[in-house]
Amino acid sequence: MFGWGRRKNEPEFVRNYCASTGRKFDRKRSFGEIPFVALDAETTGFDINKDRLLSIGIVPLNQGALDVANRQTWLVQQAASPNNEAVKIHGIAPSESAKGIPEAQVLEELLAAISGKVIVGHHIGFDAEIIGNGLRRNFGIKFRNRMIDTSMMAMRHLDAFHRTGYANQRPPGLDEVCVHAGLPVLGRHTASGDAFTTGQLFLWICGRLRVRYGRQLVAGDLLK
Amino acid sequence: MDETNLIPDRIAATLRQFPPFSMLPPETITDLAQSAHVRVLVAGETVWHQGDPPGEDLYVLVRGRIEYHITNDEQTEMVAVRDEGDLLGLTPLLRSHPARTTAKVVEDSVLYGLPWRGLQRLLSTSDDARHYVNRHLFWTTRLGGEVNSLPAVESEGITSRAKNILQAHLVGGRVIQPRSPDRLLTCTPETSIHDAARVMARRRVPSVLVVDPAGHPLGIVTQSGIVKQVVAGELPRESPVKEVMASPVITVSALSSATAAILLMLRERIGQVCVTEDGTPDSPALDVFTNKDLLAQSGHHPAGLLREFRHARTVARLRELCDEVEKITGSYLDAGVSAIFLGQICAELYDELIQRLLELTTLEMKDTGVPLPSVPWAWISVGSDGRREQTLRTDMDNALIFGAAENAEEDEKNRHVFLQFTNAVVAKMVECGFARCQGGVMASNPRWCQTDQEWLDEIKEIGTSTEPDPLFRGIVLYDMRFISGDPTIVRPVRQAIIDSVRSNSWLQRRLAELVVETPPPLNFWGKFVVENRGDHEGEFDLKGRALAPLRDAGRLLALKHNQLRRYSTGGRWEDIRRNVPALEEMAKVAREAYDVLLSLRLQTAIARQNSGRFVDPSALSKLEKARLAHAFDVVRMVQTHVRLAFNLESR
Repeated sequence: MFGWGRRKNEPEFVRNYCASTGRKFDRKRSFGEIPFVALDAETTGFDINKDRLLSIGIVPLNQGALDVANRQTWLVQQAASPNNEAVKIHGIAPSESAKGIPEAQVLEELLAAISGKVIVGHHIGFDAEIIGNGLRRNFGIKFRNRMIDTSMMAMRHLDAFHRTGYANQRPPGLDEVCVHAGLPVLGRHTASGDAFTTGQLFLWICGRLRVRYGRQLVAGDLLK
Repeated sequence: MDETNLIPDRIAATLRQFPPFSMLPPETITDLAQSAHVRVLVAGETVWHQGDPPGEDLYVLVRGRIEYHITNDEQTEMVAVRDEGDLLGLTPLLRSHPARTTAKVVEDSVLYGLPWRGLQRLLSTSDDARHYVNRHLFWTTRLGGEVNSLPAVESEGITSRAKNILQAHLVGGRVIQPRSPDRLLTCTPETSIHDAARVMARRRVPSVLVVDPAGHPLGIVTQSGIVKQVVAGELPRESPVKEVMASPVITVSALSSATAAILLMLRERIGQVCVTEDGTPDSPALDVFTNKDLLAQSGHHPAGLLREFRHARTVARLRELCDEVEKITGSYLDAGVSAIFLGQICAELYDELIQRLLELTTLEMKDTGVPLPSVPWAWISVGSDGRREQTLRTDMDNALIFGAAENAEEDEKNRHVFLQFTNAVVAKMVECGFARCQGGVMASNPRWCQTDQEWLDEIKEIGTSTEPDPLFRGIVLYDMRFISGDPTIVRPVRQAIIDSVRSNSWLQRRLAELVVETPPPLNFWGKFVVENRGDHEGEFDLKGRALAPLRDAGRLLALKHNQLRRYSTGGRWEDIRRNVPALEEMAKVAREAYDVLLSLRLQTAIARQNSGRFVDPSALSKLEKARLAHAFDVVRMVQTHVRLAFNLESR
């Protein structure tokens, strides 16, 4: 029932994840009923093909509020964690990474936490690729969650970040948008801090949309 | 790097900036932050609508601005504004009632929702935090709502405050300084009890130290020991003192803290402590201190100052002591001591000062050959001095009553001498740093230096006159308090004043009008209204707008309900609270509010070196603003009560 080419002896958590997480979403589903989870990951570098996960932070968003009690954060053990430029940003040294949890276990716990949820992240595409690579390596599956990128939302919905047609324009960074929104930034360049800040930003943009549309939001407003 | 608690730690750090969280133990805030719900709302959205049931969370507004609106009969009006650090939704949670307002976001806002159950439990254990929240609740009185207070778990503790008073002492604490060695009274163990007692009586000390040949203390013979063993017991008075002495002797070293020594004596339940060279009984004794000696030595202690006042011989020394009183007042105020309580301490000290000045002046007059007339007289304090609120040396308010003689001619002659006397006293008070009263309310003014008969005649007139001046004099007199001289001459005058108000409802109404005359400097939206003209533009008049109505109402209600035992505004409200059940709740909050206002005025006065009458709202902290706003709500409530109770037309 899981489509083609699926191995029969997959672990149960992988099956559960695949069964409950899909691309289909009822476009009329109201905002308050959509289970969002803000996510951010720190990685060993910026090469999708080479670099690995160092830490992941998630904060669930239920009924329009960040649920601090159910936040989760993982420090990933990476044997080959390089001591490079990225370390200066996220501050996770190789020795620190060695204290973490093995990647396979982190991903197993992550799947349980994000199963069936909509991921909210800033520049989420990169994080999703890295997590996806990990999932493929460890369990042979894809990253299946629907995703919302707050930097893309900012470009689409905020005048200050609209596409200008300028060739080198990039989606705005988390700091930039938060400064524009007047939101407090919490623990930048830590996975859980960025996840939290991204969650706040997401709520703020959704608030903007609600006021602009003069109604509550539905899934169709956020997921194309 | 462990980021498990990064988010709650940051949330807790933010919360701790604001009351009531700043008043709760830090670790409990971290716990609370673990289960926070963070919401972000933008201008134009609503947090809740009028009629919504309360949720599970209390909201703290971390950023932004929210307005409360009430809709009645399709009319919407704004009733309150909440900004950074304010609590949202407390009233509905506390009452389990639907919200009475709609909360509209006017500036993009970040809200931290905290589980109410956990918070409620925390608040019930912290007095300060609970009082803050209770005051916060008061804004609903502006809507005509009733106030439900948060209950305390245990009875109100004074431990936290006591610690602060102790700290205030330690700041000014001094070390024990042994006095000259020949002052020390000693005897050998073989000395007879009778001899020891005779020496004690002659030198007027409560104890004799028993020492060995090297001067090391062996024991101490005290009055109570002799009473117990010899007078009440069977021991003959010829027995040696070693039979009655207390041993071993509790010792301290010289240069240890006087306050610590007092605490040691309290703990050991002893009346004397012996100072030795190295602090142990195995070194020579230097001095013996009673707790009274130590109190007098412990510098910043009022008891020490009182003694100093009593022994001062020159006006210059008295002036120094007055400066000292002001210093103590400042450190007590920092320690959070109630301003009403401080007023009482200062009144005691200043009463002692005036007593001393009167004594000095009486002697001077006698020396210059103009003794005081032989009629009874009494020096009285009136106005704020009479109410024991003269914490700082602002202006003096006093008067003199002297006994009427046979005829008016004799009275004038006496008045002439008494005026000489009062002028000399007032001049000395000025030297001590008191300002002359702007309104001329001073015993050196013939209008405030009258015979008992003249006072009684004048009081009769207050009740019938429509002029403002007699009413003003009356108000000042209502607060009269006996200071020195012959108390019997004051009593009939005070009684006459009280009777003149109690029997005269027209006069009561005039006094009530004074209470409601000035609205508090807080408009309906909870914003401070500042003076918009004159030197104090941008500030508000704390005395005129808040202290005066509470003070006048306290006086009026005390007169009406016959609660005349106490003189201070705080004491009056306290008595009303205890003895007039219908006004219990109001009197309680009125007293608290008066205390807050008085403290603020004192703090401003000390900071700015003036009377502290005007306060700049922008210079206040969030907590002070909240306290003030609450105090003003209380003023409004008291004014409303007075309006109803004395049938004044609502305006």
